[in-house]
Amino acid sequence: MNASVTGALLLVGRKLLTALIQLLVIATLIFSVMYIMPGDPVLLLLGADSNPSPEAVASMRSQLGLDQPVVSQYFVWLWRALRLDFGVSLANGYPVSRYVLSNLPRTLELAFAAIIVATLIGVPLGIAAALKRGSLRDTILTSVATIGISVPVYIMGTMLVLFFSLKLGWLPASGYTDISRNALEHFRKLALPALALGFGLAASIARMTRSSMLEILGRDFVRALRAKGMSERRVIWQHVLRNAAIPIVTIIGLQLGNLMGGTVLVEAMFNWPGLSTLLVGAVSARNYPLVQGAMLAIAALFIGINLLVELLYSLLDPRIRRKRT
Amino acid sequence: MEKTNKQAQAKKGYSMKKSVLGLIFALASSVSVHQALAAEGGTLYFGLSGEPSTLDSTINAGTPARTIRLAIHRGLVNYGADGKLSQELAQSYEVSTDALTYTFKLRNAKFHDGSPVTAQDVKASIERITAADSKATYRNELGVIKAIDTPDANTVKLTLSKPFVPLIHYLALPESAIVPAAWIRDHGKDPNATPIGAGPFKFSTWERGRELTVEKFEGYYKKGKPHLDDVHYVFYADENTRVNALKSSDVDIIDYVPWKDAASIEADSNLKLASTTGPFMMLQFNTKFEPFSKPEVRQAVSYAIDRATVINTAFNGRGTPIYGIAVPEGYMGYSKEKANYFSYDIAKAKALLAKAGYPNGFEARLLSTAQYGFHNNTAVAVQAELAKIGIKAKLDLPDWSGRIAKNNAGDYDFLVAGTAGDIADPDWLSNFFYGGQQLVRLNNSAHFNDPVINELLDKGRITLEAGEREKIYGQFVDRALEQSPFVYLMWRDQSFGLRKVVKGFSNIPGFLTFQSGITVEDTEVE
Repeated sequence: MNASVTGALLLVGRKLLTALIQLLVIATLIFSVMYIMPGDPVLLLLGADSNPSPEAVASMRSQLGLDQPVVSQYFVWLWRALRLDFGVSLANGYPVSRYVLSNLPRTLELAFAAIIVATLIGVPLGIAAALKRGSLRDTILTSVATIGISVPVYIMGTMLVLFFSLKLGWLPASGYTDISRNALEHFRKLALPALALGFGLAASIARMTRSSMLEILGRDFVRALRAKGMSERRVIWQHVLRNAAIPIVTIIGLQLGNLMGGTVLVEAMFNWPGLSTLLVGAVSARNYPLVQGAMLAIAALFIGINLLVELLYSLLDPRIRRKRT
Repeated sequence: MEKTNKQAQAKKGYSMKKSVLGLIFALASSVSVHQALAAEGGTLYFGLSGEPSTLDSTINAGTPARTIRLAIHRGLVNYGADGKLSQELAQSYEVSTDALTYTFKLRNAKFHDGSPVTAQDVKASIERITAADSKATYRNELGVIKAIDTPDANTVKLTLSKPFVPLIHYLALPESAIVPAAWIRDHGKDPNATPIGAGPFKFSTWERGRELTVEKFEGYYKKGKPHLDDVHYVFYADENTRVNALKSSDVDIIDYVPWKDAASIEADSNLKLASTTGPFMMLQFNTKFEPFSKPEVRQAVSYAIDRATVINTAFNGRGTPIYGIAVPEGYMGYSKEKANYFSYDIAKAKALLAKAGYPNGFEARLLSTAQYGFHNNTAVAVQAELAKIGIKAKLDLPDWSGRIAKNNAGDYDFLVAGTAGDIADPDWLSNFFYGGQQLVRLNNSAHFNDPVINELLDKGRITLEAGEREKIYGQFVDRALEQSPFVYLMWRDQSFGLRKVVKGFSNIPGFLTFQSGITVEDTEVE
């Protein structure tokens, strides 16, 4: 096997191992946090209005295994989680893994749609601003980007709903339709949440693109290429953009992770039935297994995305690959 | 009137939302003779404030679950749109003069699987609730049923261990639904089993986290009902999202209209608001310690709070003050003069505090929750009002779950509660006022245990004669005002928001607003 392939495999292996350790630490944290929080799932489960008798509470508690010592509950949970069995929802005995599997793709879809929206808006704007540095166009674009970053996603979402659904009536205010049932309706309902989530991100991508482009444009090799008589278009598209891409990809990748957090508000606002919606409901009901399963899924996703981004760097920049092997 | 509506509906035709299948069915049914003009069929989109944790018919898992179950299930009796008891699976019933036996005659009704509703099904359904290992919400109340006899397939005789007059009201609750005995045998323990009932709609699909769909049951025992082909219950936990969904016509009706949005719905020419004052807000006290162990102190609190401040701070002005006990008008125990026993009177409040030994007031923890704005804001208003008589309330505002836990552990000095009675019979008061064995409960003032009140409530339960009962609950109200274990603040408006094209849905007045889902069987969409 040649050295660079072995090196790459080693790199991937090491990254995977780190990711697993990270996951384990996070899993432990997630497990503990729920037990530190006040509130009792059994009381909520038996119905807050029904004055359950102490016997009913005790029997429910043992039925759910919540009367066991926390440490033993932890190991039972961890052992099962290793085999991807996250238990069942306390509320109705429905398997947590099925909840997560049905909701996770929707959250991912929303996050990716937001990234696409953000990239499509952010990168061209950033380039446009960089190419006319200091011009009126640059000033306007930069100011819009600053505002975009500062507007909280729930304000953005509310304004979008007000304008596109309530005023114009073009798009549904909220909801979700399965793509297999009606694809058009599916994307119509995806549009507003993706825009709301993607807009702020577009602003930061635009800023990063602009500064990254400016930095590369000032490099000696660009001057050399221009001196050689290379067309400006080739200089920009083939050389400058390629070199400027690494920080842009980094920020997109990192933001994809952060978007998982941003979806909490957007999913709630648009009634998008993703992981965050699941999580928020489960936290309120102290539905331990569901919270643990959903949070672990989000954590795994975050770590997985970061892993992907790092590996993607090495593709874009051979120096990173070489340095690490 | 109804006829005019139907003619109008027939003229206007159908919205795009309705399925093709619905259209075909509606056209087919409109050809039939007896409904030549009716705009039958169509789909209703019902935005609910939450997703049920379970559809178990014996557990009260909140209003959204009840709304859905009232489409699927029926009991022997239920509460109808007028708030009165209506005979459903029971064609008639008789109560013996000693209130010890209840005999029901069943009508010819069918379950969704096509099997007839028999006495055996009724027996199995009630036994499932009263079983020793049952988690049924009203297990205690129905626990007085000692024996269930089924002399024939259409007759059920319940024998009680002691007289219990309110039984018929507990049987009218959605949690006393009748389900097939065979279903109980095969699926009774499976919380995710497909429910089968004898109601107007049968369960169709449940897409977790999103919506639950029911479809018309052709074999429903009420001729010509239901009108709709199917109902989609869509879950909108976020109140702003729910309101926007109604305003943009994503849904046809929503529950729990937030008070801040009531005016904008009223102002919208396509929408209407169906309001009633059912639930109430009150203060509950931990009576184990001073100062709140003293009735004078609790009364002082009642005199010190200007109810208008609470209504304006927490409910955008949408409520009605209570200066007495929260008995809805028309319910047994209501009296006009006692409804205003207290008044807003700072001087009186101060005098009572001084009499109790606290001329300069005191400090106390007030439990509420930050999770719901109206709970939070009620606490803030009460805090401000009480400051006027020197009571310094320190707010304790955990999330809802934390608040429930503290409430049930008695870990509070006083707290803000928003609730309603369960039934339209005066025995709803027992849940709140009765002392007895368990002195720290969700809905009682912790450790409050007054022998006079307990005795009156016991007597009310066994007295069949209405005039006699009226007297007992009159005495109860006198004693309750004197002791004031609760300080009542206000009736809050409870509203549904509807598109104007929705007809036939009613918000049942009083405590029964939370059971309004039953009127979906009368609902039509133009």
